[in-house]
Amino acid sequence: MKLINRINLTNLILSIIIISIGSVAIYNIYRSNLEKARDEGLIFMMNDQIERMSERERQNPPDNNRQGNPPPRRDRGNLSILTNPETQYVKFTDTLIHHPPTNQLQPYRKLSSVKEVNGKYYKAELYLVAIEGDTVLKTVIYSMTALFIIMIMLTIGVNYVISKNTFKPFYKTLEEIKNYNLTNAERLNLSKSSIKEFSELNEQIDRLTKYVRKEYENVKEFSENASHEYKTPVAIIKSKLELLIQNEKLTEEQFKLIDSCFKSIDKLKKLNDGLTLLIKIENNEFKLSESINIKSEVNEIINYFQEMAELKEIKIKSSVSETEIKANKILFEILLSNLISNAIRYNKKGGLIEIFTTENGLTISNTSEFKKLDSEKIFNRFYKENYNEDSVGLGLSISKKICELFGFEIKYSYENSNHNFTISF
Amino acid sequence: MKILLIEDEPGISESVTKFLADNDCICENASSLKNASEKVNDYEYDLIILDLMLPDGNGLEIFKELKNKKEIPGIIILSAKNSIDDKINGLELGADDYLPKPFSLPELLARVRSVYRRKNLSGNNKIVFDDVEIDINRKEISIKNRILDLTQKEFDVLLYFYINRGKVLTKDSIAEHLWGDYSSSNDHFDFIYQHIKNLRKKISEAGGKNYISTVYGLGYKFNL
Repeated sequence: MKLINRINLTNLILSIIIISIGSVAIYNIYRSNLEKARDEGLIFMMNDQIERMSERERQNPPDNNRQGNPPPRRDRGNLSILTNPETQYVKFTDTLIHHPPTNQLQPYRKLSSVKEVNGKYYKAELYLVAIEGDTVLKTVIYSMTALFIIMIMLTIGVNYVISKNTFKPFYKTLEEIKNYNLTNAERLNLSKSSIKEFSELNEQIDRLTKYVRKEYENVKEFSENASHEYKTPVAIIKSKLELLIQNEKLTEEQFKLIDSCFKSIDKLKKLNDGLTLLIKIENNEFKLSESINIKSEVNEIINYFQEMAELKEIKIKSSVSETEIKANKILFEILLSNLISNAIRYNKKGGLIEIFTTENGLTISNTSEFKKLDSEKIFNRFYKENYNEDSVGLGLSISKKICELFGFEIKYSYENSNHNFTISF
Repeated sequence: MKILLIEDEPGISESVTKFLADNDCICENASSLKNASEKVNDYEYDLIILDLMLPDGNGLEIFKELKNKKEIPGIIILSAKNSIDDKINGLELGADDYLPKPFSLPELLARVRSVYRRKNLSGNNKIVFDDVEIDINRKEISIKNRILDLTQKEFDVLLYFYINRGKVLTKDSIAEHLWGDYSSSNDHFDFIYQHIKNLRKKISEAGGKNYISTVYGLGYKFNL
């Protein structure tokens, strides 16, 4: 989720909560105020009517012939003079009254009261249409929704502007980090920011990359030096042995001892070459992105190993399509020659190697007298399934590293007593 | 042939000097860049064998000294820094060959001979011994004036043997000579056996002597 969306979402949720709580509160306050005003209105009406009645009483004393009070009016209620004094009270009740035009019962607010004015007691019953909660609610909802929409639009707008301007240095830093490559010595080009957090972030990133770069240089220098320092004594041993074997007095026994020294030197050399190559791949020292035609590469490598295969009477069948891939040529050649030389080395006399392309991969399949290999372990460094005094156990882990570098996948499978290595591009 | 070996590691320079001296080369030593510059300015050499990592600088510096020379000697770079950059740099500056450490002495000798030949094309590029004639330019070998039908590798291996005649050559060194960097695997040893078997057969069929002897499973020796 993008930062700006996250902020917007938070704002949205917060707004919804505030507006909901606000709506309930406003609804209640609004309603209770309305009710209070209405009740006060009823009392005012009652006082007004009692006053007018008492005025009338004063001007026209009661006529005994008059038949009681005028008939009650639904909307007005009725007012009567009590003959005996009673305790005064004011009472509000909610009630339902039949409403002829709609033929429905409608809620009304009823005021019942007894009040004494100028020594006379009046009993009043007044009605007012009750306040409908629905109407209040609707009003509240409409206004709150409008408010909510305006608020959200404003927030999103403001956030957009903020992210465009305020977050600009942050996104620039992010972009710089994305494009950072440890192998080229260039420093990160981090822009200055007036915002404290961002400038601090940039400082720390700069510090970190400098440190990482320094460590990388150290490791690189160390591995280069180690490889170099180690080669010199090996070269000396080798040259001394080569001088030694020129001695004509050497016996067969001594030659055999020297021969095993040569074998070990050869192994040391291969070990060093392999490790150096692995380090170089890990250090990204190979430039990528060359267009490579798989068919011509495979043919070249087959050509190179043809003699070796013929010596073991191994047939190499290849049906490779003209696929172009992006990779480093030197590394891709190492990858192919590792796999093909393995296919020859672990093959049986008179065996077969098939090299073919599938939809998006290349498979090298060989017959062998060896059983199924452990597909988990064979790509590990120094893992040797079948002891071979010539092997140092780095070939497949180098192959895997090369594949990883190009974003390929290498897999081993065993079918019909064939060992298959498949590279998926 | 007069050679200047610029190498600071005594263990290596002693071996190289001894091996080259046994093969009719006069080999002088310089163990630093300063020492080497002096020698290059004062004397003439047919060939320089140059180690790149010297105590007082990069061996490539020596090329600056050579610019003023009338005849630039052939240059073979020796380096423990197996870096492709160095190789390209050296070859661009005018080195004739590049040999990574650890190298084998017979291989170095073969490179020395090959660079020397290339530098002196006017010379005779035919080697004659007994009834055998090796024409290096045409890559042909004839015995009693009959050209042998040899493969490229068989020719290479015979020339390598001749250059290192009288010396025991390990299978490892032969493999390195024939297959370069990819070599030095036991797989190639069967090959060498096969090539040498064929070579012996072809030479004897043409009426040549049996020049190649086996040295106790370790390697081979070419006897004149």
